[in-house]
Amino acid sequence: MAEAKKQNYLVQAWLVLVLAASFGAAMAGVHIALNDGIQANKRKETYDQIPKLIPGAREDLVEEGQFTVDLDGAPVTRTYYKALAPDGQAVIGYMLRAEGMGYVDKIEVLVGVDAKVKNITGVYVLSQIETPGLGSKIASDSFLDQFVNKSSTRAIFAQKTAQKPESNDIQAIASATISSQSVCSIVNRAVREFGDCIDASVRRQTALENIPRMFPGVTDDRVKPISVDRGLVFRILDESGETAAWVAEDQRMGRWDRIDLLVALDAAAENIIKVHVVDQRERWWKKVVKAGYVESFAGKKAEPIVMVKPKMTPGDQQVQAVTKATITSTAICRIVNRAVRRLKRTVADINSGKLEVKEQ
Amino acid sequence: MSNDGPTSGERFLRGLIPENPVYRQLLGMCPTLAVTGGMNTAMTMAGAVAFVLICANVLTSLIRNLLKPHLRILVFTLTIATFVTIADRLLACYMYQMSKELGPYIPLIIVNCVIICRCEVCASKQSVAIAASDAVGQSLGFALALASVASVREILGSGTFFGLRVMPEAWPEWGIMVMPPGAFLTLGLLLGLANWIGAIREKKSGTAA
Amino acid sequence: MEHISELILVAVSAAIINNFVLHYFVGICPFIGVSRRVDMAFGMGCAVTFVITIAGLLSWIFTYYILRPGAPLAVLVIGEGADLSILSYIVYIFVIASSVQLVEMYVRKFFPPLYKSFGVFLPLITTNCAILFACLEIMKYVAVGKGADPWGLDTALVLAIFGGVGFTIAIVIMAGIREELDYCDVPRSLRGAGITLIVAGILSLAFMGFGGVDRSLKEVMSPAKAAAVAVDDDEEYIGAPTTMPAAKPADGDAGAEITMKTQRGAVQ
Repeated sequence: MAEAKKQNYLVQAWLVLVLAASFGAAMAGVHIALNDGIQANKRKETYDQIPKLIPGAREDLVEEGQFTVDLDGAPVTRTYYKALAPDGQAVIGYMLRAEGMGYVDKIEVLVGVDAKVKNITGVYVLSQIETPGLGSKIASDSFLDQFVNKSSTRAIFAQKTAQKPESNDIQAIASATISSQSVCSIVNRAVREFGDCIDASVRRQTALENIPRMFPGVTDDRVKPISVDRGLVFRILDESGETAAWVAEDQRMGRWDRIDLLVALDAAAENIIKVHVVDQRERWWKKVVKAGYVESFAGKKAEPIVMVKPKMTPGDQQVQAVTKATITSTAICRIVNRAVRRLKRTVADINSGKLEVKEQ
Repeated sequence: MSNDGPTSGERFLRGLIPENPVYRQLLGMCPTLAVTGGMNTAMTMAGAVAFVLICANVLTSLIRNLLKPHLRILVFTLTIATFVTIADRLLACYMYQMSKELGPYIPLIIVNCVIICRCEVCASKQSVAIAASDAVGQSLGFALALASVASVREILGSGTFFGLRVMPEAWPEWGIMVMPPGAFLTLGLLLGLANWIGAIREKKSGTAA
Repeated sequence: MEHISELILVAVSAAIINNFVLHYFVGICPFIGVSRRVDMAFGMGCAVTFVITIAGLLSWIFTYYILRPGAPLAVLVIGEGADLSILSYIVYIFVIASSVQLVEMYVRKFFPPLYKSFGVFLPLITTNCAILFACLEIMKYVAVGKGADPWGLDTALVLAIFGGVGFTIAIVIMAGIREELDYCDVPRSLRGAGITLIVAGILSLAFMGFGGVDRSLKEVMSPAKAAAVAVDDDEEYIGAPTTMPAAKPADGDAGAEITMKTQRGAVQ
């Protein structure tokens, strides 16, 4: 009886086994046939956006890269997409993939930034499940278009009222302020992390571009970058190959956005030759230019410079703040001081032999 | 097995309204509530369910003579799971955007009572032709049910139908319709409506006879 | 502490904010069928919670070690690039069927009185969407590509258990309401499923009020790091403000001090 029972079970089980085997084979076949298509779809979702978010970019001229971000001790890898110019070398812009918490659940976005990581060129929402009809409007063009040309070095906030074009904030969707601000936070964090990551190379590139403007006539081979612990210093050579000047670049937040400067000392690192403004977006810049504030640094000694109130007359190592642009003036003064300090330290170290000159 | 009982044509018609899986048998309500926010998603889901139901019914009917009582459910489940996986992959490959919107509800077709019920009740006992027509009828009935709920929710909730604007611009979209409460309320009221119509017809045919 | 707060968030989200029945529409069939009396409803809820826990545990093990792309055991057997995720659904449904059998055997043997109260529901649970849904959620968070951390066993179990708890809460509330509805004059066409769905709609509307609670909980449990003050070793300036004016309030996310970028060590 037991024998028959056992045989009965076997007989019953064979059908299941046959079915399982044939279904397994069918699934393997489906997997092989369709998997490539599915992977291509996922990839297409991201790559399709590159031409839309980075003006002038092409889908086939894209390089994918990874960078690591340190979040409270745990390194996290993120992906970025570099859009190249048709010559294959120059960078048109970058696209970043970021996600964060919205009102309901995760929001995934793609952010396009320009090559210098200064401006946002576009934002696209990959996935969101915000409240239909309210928060879901964050995926609409009218909301996302507000991000184009906003500064990426400054936080973007979602405000309730309509914003003027020069403001770096956007107008939130009515009754969906949390979803709107979430998108801003995600974009802010993404460009900040990415900016920090490729900061060094972008700044070096920018400095190399601006030194010829600072010293007209200087050719590229006379500019020697030297990397030091705290940033980049350049040694400028004159025609005979002797050191003519030392240049450092530095930056700081001004009243409105970041100010980038190049500061040049003479060969002995005793006097400031010139201060050159690489980039600024200050509101009252016209006043600063009119007052000749930046030029007033030239000729001062390479010692800490003090800024005095607009009504007071500046002394030897002093500069006069620009009326109504005090914060901008303060920022510039601090940048110059810090750059001068760094240059003097570097030159002293090189001369005393403490610093190995690692020219690049 | 002899074909006593309804013929394939009759089975097909029965699946549409008299034995509608959602309104009469009260099966398969999870997708009816979940994906009926818009007609697009609803019809894609109906298509997927149709594919799985027809294939599963046909296969089950082909092997009906080999099925043993204890292993029946196991075999049904295995079959349905396989076809659902195939449907899911096909969607991901050819309709990627739609598959993202449907999300976890495609794999949930596996535990959709409609399919298991039809396999159990019909396909395991009838010939292939009858099983197939039964499957087609039930799928169409399911699609009708989904369409009824989805049209109400989409037109009132977003002012569109299949994504095309039908309501005037001034129509304030009833956002609640596209969210869970709207789903429950719509289905509940439509169910009540269906019952009411059914009761009236019964009374009419009762008094007429 | 970070991890505990993440677990709490997952628990609250699964049980209340994104309730399986009232937000994700899974488990509707038993929700409508078994919610006539509170004791039956509670029994069903307990049964579902039991099974969902076991199923969640088993499905996490299978997904983590075998099914996800790059799973350890699969790589061992097949080699690099092994991707058995296509078998996920079949594996899950078998896991669920076995969990139901396991729970039924276990409860019948060791807790006969318990078996009396909810044992009859167990076979029905195999086609309960809620359990498969829990497994699918676990798969979504475990089978992630590189760049994200897959959920650990603890998070997956918390999701499963509290998903079941949420289901129990919903079904017991519904049962309580339906017991009261017995004394009401419900129109004939709406009796049964119709009125249950309408009440479920109102319940779901009420539960929508919990939306956004997880955001606030998150902020309460891991507050944004205090804005670091710019460390400045520059000298004082005559006539100029000694500190930079306060920048706009910090972006809501923890540690997001975008406006004070210049404090970073790299820039000096």
